Order: sequence, then C-alpha cells, then structure tokens
Amino acid sequence: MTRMMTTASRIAGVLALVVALTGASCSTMGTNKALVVSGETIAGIGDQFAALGGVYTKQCTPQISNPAFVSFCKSFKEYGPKFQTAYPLAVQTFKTAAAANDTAAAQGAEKTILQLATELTAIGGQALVTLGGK
Amino acid sequence: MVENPTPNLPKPIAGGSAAAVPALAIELLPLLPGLIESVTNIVERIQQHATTPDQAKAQLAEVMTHLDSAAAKVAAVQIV
Repeated sequence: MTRMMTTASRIAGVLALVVALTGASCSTMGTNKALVVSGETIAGIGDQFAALGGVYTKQCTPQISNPAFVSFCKSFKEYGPKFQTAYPLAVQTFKTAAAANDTAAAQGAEKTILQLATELTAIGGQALVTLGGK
Repeated sequence: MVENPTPNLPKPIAGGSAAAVPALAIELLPLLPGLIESVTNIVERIQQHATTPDQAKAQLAEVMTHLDSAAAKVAAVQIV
C-alpha cells in the first residue's frame, strides 16, 4: 500500500516536472512574440522614414519646389542624417539581442528608435499640413 | 461441500491480501482526475509546441527580412 502510494507520488512528481518544463519552454514563445513586435516596430519606423524621404526628395531636391515646404525641408535635412546614423545601429542591436533571445536589449533598441520617431512624426506632420493645405 | 465464509470479498491477488485491494483503490481513485488532467495538459502543450515555435521562428525570420529592407531604404534616402 505504501509502496503503491510512493509510486503514485513519483508519477505525479514526474508529471509535475514535465508540466514545469513545457511551461518554461512556452514562456520562450512569449519572448519570441515580444521580439517580433519590437522588430516590426523598428522596421515600420524605418519604412516611415523612407516614405518621408521620398517626400523630401520630391519636394526639396534639387531645390524646394514650393515655399510652403521650406520648414519641412529644413527640419528633415537636419533630422535625417541623425536618423540615418542611429537606425542601422538600432537594427544591429536588435539583431544581436534577438539572436541571444534578449528581449530587454531588443526593446532598448526599439526605445531608441521610438524616441527618434517622435521627431519623425512631427516632421511628417509638417509635410502633411503643407500637402493638405495645397 | 464447504461454504464460502466471505462471499462478497474480491479474490486475493498474488502478493497482496484481499482486504488491501479495495482500500488501495479507495486511496488511488481521488488521484485519477488529477492525473488525467495533467496528462491532458501535457498533450495540449506538446501539440502547441509542435507548431507555434516554428511559427514564431518564421515570423522572426520575416521581421529580419523586413528590417534589412527598411535599413536599405533608410540608407538610400539622399539628403542634400
């Protein structure tokens, strides 16, 4: 009787261990999802910058086509190189973090780009206002 | 002919007494639902693991491709 109860306890223990191990593996899924979200955010901001770069190329080069774009052209000319310097570094940081499954470091790279994206949004807003007013 | 003195008791099994078997069953029965639930949970988790980690890896690979593409587009913007 005692021996049978010990066996039952062992089975329960093994099951508990298996559940714990599978649970730990499943928490890795959360990490992957967080990495996917951070990566998509960084990539999306890059796309936004490139789209705004297209507006800059069209409206500001070789010369400003419309005086209404003066403010936007000036702002983007100052801001663009900063973003172009920071972006590849953030992408590289993210890739290194993702390879190491380091969600915190990946989110750090995302945070850097999000800070730059705030300014990008403001500059994009200038262009939108100008385009909307045309 | 000898009459059976305990007609309702289960037959003895090898290495055990007749009285021990029902007592053991009574002890083990409450454990069964928990064991079944644990096994069901494990099967579910294993089934999920058969697909979702691969999906997550595929998604992450897509993100990496998207990042490379975005980085190339960012670098291509000419600011003069």
